[in-house]
Amino acid sequence: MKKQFLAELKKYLEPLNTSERDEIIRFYEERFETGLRYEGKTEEEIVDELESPKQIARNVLEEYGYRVRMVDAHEEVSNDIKVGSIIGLILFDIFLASFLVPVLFSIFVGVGSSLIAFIGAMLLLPFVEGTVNLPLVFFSLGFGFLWFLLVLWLWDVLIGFITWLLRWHLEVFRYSKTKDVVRSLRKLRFQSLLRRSPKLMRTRQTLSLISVLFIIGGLIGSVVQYGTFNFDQVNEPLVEETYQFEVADDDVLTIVADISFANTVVRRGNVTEIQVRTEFFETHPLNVDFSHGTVQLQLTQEDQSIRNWFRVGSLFSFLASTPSVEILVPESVDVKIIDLTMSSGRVTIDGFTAEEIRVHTLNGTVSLDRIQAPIIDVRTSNGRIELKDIVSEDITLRSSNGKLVLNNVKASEYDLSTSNGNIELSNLSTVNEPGSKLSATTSNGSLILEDVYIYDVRLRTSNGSINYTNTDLSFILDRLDAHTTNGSVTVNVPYQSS
Amino acid sequence: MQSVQLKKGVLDLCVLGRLSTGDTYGYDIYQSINKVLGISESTIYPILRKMVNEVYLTTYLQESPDGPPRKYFKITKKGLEMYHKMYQEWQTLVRQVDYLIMR
Repeated sequence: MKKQFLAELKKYLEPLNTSERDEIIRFYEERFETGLRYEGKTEEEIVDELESPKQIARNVLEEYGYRVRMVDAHEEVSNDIKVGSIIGLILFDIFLASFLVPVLFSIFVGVGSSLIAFIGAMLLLPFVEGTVNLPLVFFSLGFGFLWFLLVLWLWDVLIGFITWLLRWHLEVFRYSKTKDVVRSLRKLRFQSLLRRSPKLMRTRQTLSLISVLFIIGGLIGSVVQYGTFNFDQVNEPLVEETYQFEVADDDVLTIVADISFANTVVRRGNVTEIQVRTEFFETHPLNVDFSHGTVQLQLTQEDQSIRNWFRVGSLFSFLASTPSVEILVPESVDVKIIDLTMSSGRVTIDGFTAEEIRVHTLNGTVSLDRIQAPIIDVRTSNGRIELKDIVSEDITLRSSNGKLVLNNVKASEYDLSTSNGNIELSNLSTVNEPGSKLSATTSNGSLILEDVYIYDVRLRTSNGSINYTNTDLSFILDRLDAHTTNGSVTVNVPYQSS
Repeated sequence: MQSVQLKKGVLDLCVLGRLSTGDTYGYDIYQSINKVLGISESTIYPILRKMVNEVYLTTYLQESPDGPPRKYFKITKKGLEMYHKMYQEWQTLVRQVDYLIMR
């Protein structure tokens, strides 16, 4: 009787772990002993006194916090999937998860693939110029490794988030093996790999330390070797050179440049001759020619192999030394055309009356100041364009990635567009009053117009708000056409039709 | 019939209270509580086990004159502290409930 009772109880207590189960069984063993020895009862009497093994097991398991499922079918507790939590789950999936997972993933891919690009650039480094910038190699190795750790960390974050998300889903639907799924997902994390292998952990720590030392060493080495933080591939300092060209007072000058990478400034100077100050790498010299016949200043560069995107130093451009050109034009000389084509670098043109100003650059900010020219044409693939105090007729500005800022500009036709960036216009007016036109388009950014007095205005943005206000409300536009696909339109100017 | 749920809530307190007056074995604890509350054995034993796990109680084996040794329970300092805390909570609850329903 006793044995059978205890065996049955043991069976029903299966869900408990062994030690807890044995403890409970021991209570009942003792209970039998007490009854038999001290109270003189028979085993049958004791069993009668007690509840059934099933009932005991049920109470015990309940005390241990188990959902009791082992009972008869008709007592089976329904697995209560809550409607509320399912709705919460669906809403979360639609509005947040659908957005967060791809964002996290794309951050991971982005950082990871730029690491690959970085490593690629590092591998090419020694072969490009024949000589090696050793401090840069050390710096890049250290930096690359820390970057690599960042990528791994992002991976862990991604896996962690997905695990959390999945666990929540499975729990809502009361999937019984949730814990196993979570455990196997967690194993995918770099962290758990580290935890399992102390050797790897030590290696990582050592390499991190070495990386930091490499970075510091690279910085110090660069200063020692070059006198500055030189993070260009070119293993040489910049060479300064100044050119002077005589010109007659009534000459009309044309400036043409086709160069790779330089910060370029063209401005009026307190000089009697045209002065060109350059700072360039010796291996990539700049040719400065002046033709007296055509009165043309020509800057060319035969070897344009230093492209900005190829320079590791562009990551730390604030540290790197940058080639530069400064062209000073005497006050007495008129300018006809300024035409600059470059790969990258800042371009500043200040204080000219000319027929045409043209700047095409792949990468860099372009700013024009105090210019009078009927034609202004600025194109950049990556960088902002700023115009201030300008009188013109046709203004064409294009940027693939950067904002357009115009302040105090007069022209009859404005054609402005950027693929990514705001367009900010203030104090714009027109030279020949009727028929003046402005078209401003951005694919991603807001349009902010303040005191823009032009008759025909067309504003377009795919993603961003439009805000147009004028102080002088007596100015009535002939036509205003403002449209945004995603954002608000606030127009506080009178106009005739749209 | 008293509600089982209601009684279960105070079982911990009763067990600690019983042991605060002296060491004893499981069946005895059950019997003394059962006399008053009429609770089933199978709820008492897991509670004792849990209290041992949480170090509110410790156990030792006590030889008995005519039979195998019994497992005795002894309340610990932590268990006593818990007991006093729970007792105060209980008294507060009784006052509050009385106040609520006797207005």
